[in-house]
Amino acid sequence: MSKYVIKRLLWMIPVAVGVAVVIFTILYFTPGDPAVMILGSSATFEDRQALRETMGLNDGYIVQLLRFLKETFIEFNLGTSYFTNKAVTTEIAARLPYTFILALGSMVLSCVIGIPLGITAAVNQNKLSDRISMLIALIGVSMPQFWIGLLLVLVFSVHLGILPPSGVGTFRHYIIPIIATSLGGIATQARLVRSSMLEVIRSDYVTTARAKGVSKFTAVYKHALPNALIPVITQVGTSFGKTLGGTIVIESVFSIPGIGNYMISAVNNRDYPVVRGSVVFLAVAFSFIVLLVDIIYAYVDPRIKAQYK
Amino acid sequence: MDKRYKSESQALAVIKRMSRNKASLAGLVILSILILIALLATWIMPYSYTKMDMGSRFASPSFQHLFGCDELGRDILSRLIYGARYSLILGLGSVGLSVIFGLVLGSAAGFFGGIVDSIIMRFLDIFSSIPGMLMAVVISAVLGSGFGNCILAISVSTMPQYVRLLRAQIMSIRNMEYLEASATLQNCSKLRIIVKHVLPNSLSSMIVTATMGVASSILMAAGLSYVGLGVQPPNPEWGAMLSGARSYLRDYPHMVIFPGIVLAVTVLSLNMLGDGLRDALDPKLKK
Repeated sequence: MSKYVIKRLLWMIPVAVGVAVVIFTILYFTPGDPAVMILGSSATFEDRQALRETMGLNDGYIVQLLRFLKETFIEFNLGTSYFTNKAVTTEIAARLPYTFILALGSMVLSCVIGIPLGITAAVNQNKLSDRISMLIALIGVSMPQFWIGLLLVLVFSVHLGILPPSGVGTFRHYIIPIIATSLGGIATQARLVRSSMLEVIRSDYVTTARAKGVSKFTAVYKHALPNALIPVITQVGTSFGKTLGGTIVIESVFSIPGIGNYMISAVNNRDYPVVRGSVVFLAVAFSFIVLLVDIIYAYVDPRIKAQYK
Repeated sequence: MDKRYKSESQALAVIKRMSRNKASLAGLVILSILILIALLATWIMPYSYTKMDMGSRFASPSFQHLFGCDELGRDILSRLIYGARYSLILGLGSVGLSVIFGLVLGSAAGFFGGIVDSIIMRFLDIFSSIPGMLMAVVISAVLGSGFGNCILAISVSTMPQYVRLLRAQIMSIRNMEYLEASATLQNCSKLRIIVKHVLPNSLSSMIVTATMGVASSILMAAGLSYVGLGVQPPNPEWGAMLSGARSYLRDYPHMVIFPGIVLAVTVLSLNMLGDGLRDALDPKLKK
């Protein structure tokens, strides 16, 4: 087991470096001179040239890339913003909690609602309750999250006045954004649990259990459910990682000062160190979460565990 | 007897199975209507989608303006009708492009194996560690906003799943005897084998993934336009319309409600169709 963990951990290094290289390269070839952006177009040529020299922008691509990699992975320094002159790492650290709460909340909510919904649908396959829950799930994945967010604001803030429409501060500020973010997750979770549950319920060992006189309840919840939930772990983990990097739109709808909002304003200002730093951070966080999920997966599934004995 | 058996082609069997699934049929009907609306947009719009009428600014839905008017007095229904072109082309275009990426890279990886496969797959590993929406934002940031760039951004960020799909398909059939036979008997080139034998075999899962892909691409495009990175106003793309309408949510909710409904119905129809296609194309699943 430890062999597997170490192998996966080591494989993460080239992936993380690769992500950094890809993002650096994409942004490197973007038109626009940072010196002009920082000093404004009225600065003299000499001033710009001097700034370019101190920023190392006159070096070649390879030199700049290697410097970026060294700063990122050895010094854990993601650079400084062109505009605010603040370190990207401290800014991300200050904003991460907001994004994290949003992603965590939506993950919990989508499990708490999605998994029971999927089980109910599977147990009552082809009955009315199955049809209805799957229809709801399908509608759930089809609605744009930000639109649901706006509708919830309309109902709960504008008309009922019981929840704040935007911003952060109290726990109540997060209720609408979390619901909006999790709707898609609830639906995906329910569909996945249903199909995985259906597969397990039909397997021989469940039939055997039933034949031996185990009640339907025990057969479903004690024998079938644990196995049916194994694929769900991957789904939950991956979607948590994706939400972490994908709350951009929701954060903008609710003016949540998370990483997404930070990035969007950086994109609009062409503040590339911020864009680059945030993406590299989120991508590495995402691959770390995927790694964690794979390890948990291997831990709970004895079939995989056995391969690495 | 023999003849009748033969006339039942696979396509016919799939259509038959699909027509039993009411949800997917409904999806197909709604989608066809939407495509028709998009094609005929210029003829069926009640008003021009650019026509401003200061007298009916923020007009609520009425018989004159079924979905009301926006902040410049433009008829929302007309804008939604014309906007169908944007959303459908965005969805279809980006998926089309991803499928091409998938075909080229996936068949190269799957068929040549070895080092080509390793390079492509390692590259994809890196690529898919960047969540899709993030990738799309970065690419739009680099290319700038706009219609074509939005298509490119979405297709690049969704491309890995198509490559993986095609590679897996090819891996599963590439050692089958009939491929070996055609290679030796007919002296087929690798390209010919890919085009004539491998692609038709992987068509069904590609269709399902692509149908669902169009749905998620449309959502992604709307999200990008909403934060100002996709299609720009005054173009009547649905996400851009929602973005413009959000400041008026409190007083004129109809501006937010209708574009969202249209968007959701479009995506829903694609998802229903995709679900039905998956069940119809995979007879093992539906027992």
